[in-house]
Amino acid sequence: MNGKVHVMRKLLENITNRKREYGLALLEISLSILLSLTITAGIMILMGYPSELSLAAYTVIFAKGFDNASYLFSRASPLILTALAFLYPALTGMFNIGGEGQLYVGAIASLVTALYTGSLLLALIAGGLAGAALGMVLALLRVYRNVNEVVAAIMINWALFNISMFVIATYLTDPSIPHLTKQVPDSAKLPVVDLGIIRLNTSFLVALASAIGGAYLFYRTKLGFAMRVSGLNPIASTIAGFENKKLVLTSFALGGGMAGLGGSILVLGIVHRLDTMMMSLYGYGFLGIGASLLGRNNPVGVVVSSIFLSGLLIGGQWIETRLGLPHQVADLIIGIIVISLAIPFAYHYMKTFFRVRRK
Amino acid sequence: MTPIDDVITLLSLSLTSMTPLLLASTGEILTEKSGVVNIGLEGIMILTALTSAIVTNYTGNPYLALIVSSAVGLAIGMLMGYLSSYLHSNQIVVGTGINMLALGIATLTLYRLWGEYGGSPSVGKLADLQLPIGNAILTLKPISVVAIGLAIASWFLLEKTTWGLRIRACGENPHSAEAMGVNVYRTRLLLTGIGGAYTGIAGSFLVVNWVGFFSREMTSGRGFVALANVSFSNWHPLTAILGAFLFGFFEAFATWLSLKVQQVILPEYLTFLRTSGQSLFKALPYLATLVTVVVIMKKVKMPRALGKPYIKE
Repeated sequence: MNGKVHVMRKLLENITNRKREYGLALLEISLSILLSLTITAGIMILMGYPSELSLAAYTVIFAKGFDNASYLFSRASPLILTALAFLYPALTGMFNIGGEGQLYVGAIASLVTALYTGSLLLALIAGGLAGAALGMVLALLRVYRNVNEVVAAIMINWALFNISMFVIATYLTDPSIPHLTKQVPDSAKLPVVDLGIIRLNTSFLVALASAIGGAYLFYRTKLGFAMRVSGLNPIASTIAGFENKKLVLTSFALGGGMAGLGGSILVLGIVHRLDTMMMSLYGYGFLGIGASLLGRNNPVGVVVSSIFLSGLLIGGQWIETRLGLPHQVADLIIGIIVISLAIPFAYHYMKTFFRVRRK
Repeated sequence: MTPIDDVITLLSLSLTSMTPLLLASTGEILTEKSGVVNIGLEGIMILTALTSAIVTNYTGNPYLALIVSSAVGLAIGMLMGYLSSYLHSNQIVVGTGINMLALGIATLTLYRLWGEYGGSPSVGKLADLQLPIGNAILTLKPISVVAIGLAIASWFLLEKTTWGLRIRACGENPHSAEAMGVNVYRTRLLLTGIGGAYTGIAGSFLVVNWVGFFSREMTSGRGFVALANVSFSNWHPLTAILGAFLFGFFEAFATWLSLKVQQVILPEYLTFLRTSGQSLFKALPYLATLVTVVVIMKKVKMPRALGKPYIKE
């Protein structure tokens, strides 16, 4: 009897502790968003923009960025996947900055498969596999040649940006519209389902399923556990008998696959065709890093943060049409959010600072 | 055009392309030797290039632009150093953040000052040095000479002085360094700042000594190539000169090749190189850099405490 009470008490303590942890995380995130909005306004005022303009800009961003749920969710879907592309290797202790390039190959592989076979499923698989293969390249270089994965990823991103441009312009353009590729056939498009309240793009479901699947893999299976251990402490992981090299390879394949899938759903579900300047592809991979960090490296958090960042970006486009300000204000806000989130000790630092002050 | 002319042209181009890489990688070597990895080099380069364009546009003085840009680089470096040493931040994340916000600030400023998103108006430049070699003329940028000088001076500082020993101690084993009486936080803060200042000169070089205006795409990954060069050169400033020259050469070769295909007669199946194939030339330097790093990488030895926040007991 006594033992049962003890167990119950332990369980309760556990829950409250976890609640406090989530509360702290939420507090830090809100603080960094507020801080970022303040600093951005400060920078704009410093540049000589009128001070009421930044307030007007924020009003437009938050009012218009989040009012169209259908558009918001479809816009967020590729971002969720590129964020997961950063997240899964990060849980294994690796930095996958290569999401951008993995998204490009995924998008192109999907487009080509869709054009030739007209099959949605095959196109999705092709995109995911292409991204995963590219992710594996980074992991192999890291594991067997000790090449820093950040440096290699960045070189590959830049090279692939130009190579993709070449491939699109040379082989895939529509002869009647030279700056666009041929369109994905209807049979391979991800459908939009009308649910009454919103018109849900099924791309969002693919993204959501990937996040939930990832959460299950990392927090409910042995493989996921091994990957997290290897990320937290590679030496302990070796002692426990896990093969770190294989785990790193798996996590990069998984991450690359996510970004490749992100490219797939972007082509199959949202834009349906690519342009020769790659305007529709550029930037999702880089932004995914920010989204993953803002989501506190947690699959569910990533879905929320991707939707939030997409809202900021949509709002950014609105301030361009409404107020004539460059939409890059949103980039600035996101950059500062990322920097302030990198300070894990900020909260504790502030706490000790104030304690010292009080004495 | 004789072959000799081509060689001289390539050499001039390589020396020009290597300069920003060398400056940034020398700065980054100093930073990393103290234990901080700053992947925000690209962002610093964008912001300081922008600073140079503004200063030169309004004062007409490229020398002032150089000084102001290195001061701006120093300030951003110090910010990065403060966050990563005193506040124990994740250095990769802060660097990524700096890269993200740089483009935002650049666009906002461009729009505010000149009402454009793309680039600044043309500004005054430093004069080139012209060295006649035979019949050809080798064009040398004055800052290229400065960059090589700084690399040698940095090597001397790191390897031959007590200061250098203290810096290296912070990167190898900060706890021992602290026990020796070195202030690890302050050293890291300072060295990250100095690395930023070097990168600031690199950014300024792009505007006041090379292109003559600022555009958002002008850095095109040079900050990252510089990072690759740091590990390629095994954290040694003198080897970094060689590495920067090699990467500069790849870039120059790609530029030269893309111009060359416009002049020579090509067989039918290669004519695409004049139009859409131009993108392939742009990809070439990155691929060559990657391949070189992959081939060389096996034997390097990086500072042991690199990238790890130092937490005092």
